[in-house]
Amino acid sequence: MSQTSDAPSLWIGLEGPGQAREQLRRFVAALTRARRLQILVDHAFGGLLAGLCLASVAVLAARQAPSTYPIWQLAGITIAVALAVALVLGWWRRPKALEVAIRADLTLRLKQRLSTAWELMTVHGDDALTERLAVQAVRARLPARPGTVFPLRINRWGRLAPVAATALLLAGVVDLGGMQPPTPRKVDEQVVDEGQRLGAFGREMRARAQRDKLPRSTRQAAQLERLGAHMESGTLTRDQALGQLARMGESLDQERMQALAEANPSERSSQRAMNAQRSSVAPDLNPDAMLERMQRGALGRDDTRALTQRLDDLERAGIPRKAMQNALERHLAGADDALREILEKLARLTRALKEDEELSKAFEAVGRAQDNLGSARGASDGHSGSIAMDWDEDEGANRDAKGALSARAEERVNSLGKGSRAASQADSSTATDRSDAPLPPRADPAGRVVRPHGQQRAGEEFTSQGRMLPRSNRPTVENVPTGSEFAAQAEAVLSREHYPEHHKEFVRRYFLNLSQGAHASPEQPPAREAQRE
Amino acid sequence: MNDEARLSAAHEWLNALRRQIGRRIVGHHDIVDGILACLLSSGHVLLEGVPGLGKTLLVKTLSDALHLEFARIQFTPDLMPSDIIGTQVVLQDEEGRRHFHFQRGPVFTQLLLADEINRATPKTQSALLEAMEEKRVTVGRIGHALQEPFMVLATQNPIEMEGTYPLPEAQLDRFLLKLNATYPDADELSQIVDRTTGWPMPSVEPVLSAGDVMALRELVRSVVLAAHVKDYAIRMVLATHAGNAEATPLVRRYVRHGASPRGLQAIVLAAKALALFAGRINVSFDDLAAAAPAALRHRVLLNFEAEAEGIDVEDLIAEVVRETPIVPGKASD
Repeated sequence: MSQTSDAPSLWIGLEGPGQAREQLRRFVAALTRARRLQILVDHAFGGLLAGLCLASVAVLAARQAPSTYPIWQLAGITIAVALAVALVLGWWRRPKALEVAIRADLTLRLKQRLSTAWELMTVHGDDALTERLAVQAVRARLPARPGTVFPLRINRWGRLAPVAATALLLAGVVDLGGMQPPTPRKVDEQVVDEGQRLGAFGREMRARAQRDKLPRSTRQAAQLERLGAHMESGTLTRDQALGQLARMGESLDQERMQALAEANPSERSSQRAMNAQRSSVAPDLNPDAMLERMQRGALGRDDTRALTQRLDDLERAGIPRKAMQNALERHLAGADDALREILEKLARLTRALKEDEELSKAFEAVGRAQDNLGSARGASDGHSGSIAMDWDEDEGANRDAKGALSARAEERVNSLGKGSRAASQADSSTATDRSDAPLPPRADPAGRVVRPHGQQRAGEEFTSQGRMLPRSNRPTVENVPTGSEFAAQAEAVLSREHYPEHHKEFVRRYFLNLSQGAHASPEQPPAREAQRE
Repeated sequence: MNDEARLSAAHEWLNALRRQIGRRIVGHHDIVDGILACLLSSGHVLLEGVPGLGKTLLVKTLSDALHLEFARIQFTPDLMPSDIIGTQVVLQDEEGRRHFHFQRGPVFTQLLLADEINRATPKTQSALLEAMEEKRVTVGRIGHALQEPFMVLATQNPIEMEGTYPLPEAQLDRFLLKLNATYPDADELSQIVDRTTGWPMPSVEPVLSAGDVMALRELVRSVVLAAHVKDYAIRMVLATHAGNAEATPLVRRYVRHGASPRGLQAIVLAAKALALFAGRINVSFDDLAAAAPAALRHRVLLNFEAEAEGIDVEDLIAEVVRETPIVPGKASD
């Protein structure tokens, strides 16, 4: 309790009247400026830390999502915005002079001499007591530089900023896939198989695309190869694989459309050119080679003859017969500009068509993988314990979705035309037309109307084995013909009573047997059987 | 005498008083400061400690160092209120007429040592209530004013509970501060032995008169308490109330009644005296924190759970002082 030991002095004498108050005002004003600068710097560090954290999140999100925005630019913008917001907030947070004086008192251990003097100066004005307090405050170890009271220091946010910067750097450069710890989860063999097939297809496609100098196909083939490798690694679940396959299919479709659109901006003529070009594809009509020979001045009579013989095909491809004849005549007269233009157009069409072919094949391969994975999932999700699927409502919806997918794929394949279809079928040994429509109910020899438990569609054969656990709160009974004689009454009674589910099932079976004319079996409720066991 | 001269003189007086007390009392600096703070704050002090720590000697030494009247009452179970405040006696004058005459008791003094105050019955203890609060005594219909400065210094022993009567809360609240005497350390014990078993016995000279004490009391009350410092004291007192938002966890759980407004007055007055001792004319946060334990320890009443779990009120008040923020909402940067 004793404070006499640290008493600095007995009492302070007055100097000039008002001098101490003026000195105190100047000192507090300087302290306020220093504190404001300190607040700005503190806010800057806070903004920097927040910006780095937000930038890390943004970079991670940008790398996960298929975004083309440059990640470092994104990070820079995020940091700049956070910094600006923090500085604006710091600018608006102006410190009060009394608060500054209190802080200075605490920092300088002035025993509230400064803040008390300032408070009384602002409240009481210029009386003798205020002057005495001001003198007491001025005499009490006031530093010459207010910056020492509120120094520009690296606060805790600033100390954390390097950590956040490191996190941002890691978020930008580290391979996220490789960082994931190996999780011991069950590998879906079907996904792995499809991944192998897709990978192999992608490699072949890339080789063909590089040979024919098809940039779109090359890019898509590389992506297909990566997706195949990803699936083959066993890290993807079936749902994830299906999701990525769907995105891949959309990407392929868009690329194909863009290739055709770039070759010929008019869709109608593009389709016509495509059809004509499909029919005019022949080894003796290679526009690129003809252009090369024309540049060398070696376009020969064989070339002009081939062009003359395919005037009809070329007209279907969008090159008027008259224009072609004029171009040939001008060529023979020594002017190659018209013919070069036509050949360049033909070359573009040819390339677009090849891109179209390759991308369509890839699209089909992706669709096959989707179909195979989707079908296999339906089989593994069944609850009948057999290979056949038990179509419940969810699976029916799934089936509808797959049917729509197949229909969409079929529509696209049909739009490709005959040549494309032939080529794709030649590449794939498993592509067959499949019917997704479920088999209709039929009458069995006993006259009962039955419907199948499930069906396996025509096409690639597969078998799977699985052990199914019964669903909770759902009876595991086999499908039986639905009798209606006592069913309504039984259900009405059962719905009113609160029996355990297995007892209800027992009663339901009893009445259904009655409705079919069978004797009631003396079987016991499952619970009682279980108790006996 | 202007303010500066008064303050210079005050500091000289206080130093001289301390020196005189220090000639006989070894250690106990906090207790000496607390007693002086009470003296200069017009308050009374309750000294608690085991026997043999020099409580009574300290009070006697203080009386020796002051030109003040001193009286001592040894409280016992059979002590009656009239033994303290006085009684009416029948006197016969020269003409043979008899009349009542008020015979003043020992309370009519300036420094009253109520030794072992908890040995008297509550009725007798309560006889001091009016004297302590209003500085007067009423006998019958007549009130008798006490001489200023008047100060009660009571002592009590915390360990002997048999045959004692704990002070009621109303009586406790009358004491500005409650000071706990602690055991001296080895050096202090050595000095105590030298001073009390040798020859000559240390003597104490009186250095302050009653007028000086009254002047110092005025000076103490003129010490400035800034609004933000006062807020801290208020928040500290409110933090002792279990239902208050600023109450600490220990307070919420173990306090039955928190400090009264008189507790806040005690903190501020004691802090003003401490500021004056330190040569300042303003109260600091440290002054308030230093005064709080002595001003609150006998005003915060613990509940049964605290008694059962052996919770010490000192720890509770220390937590209040520690946890009360100096500036509300002050950032930790």
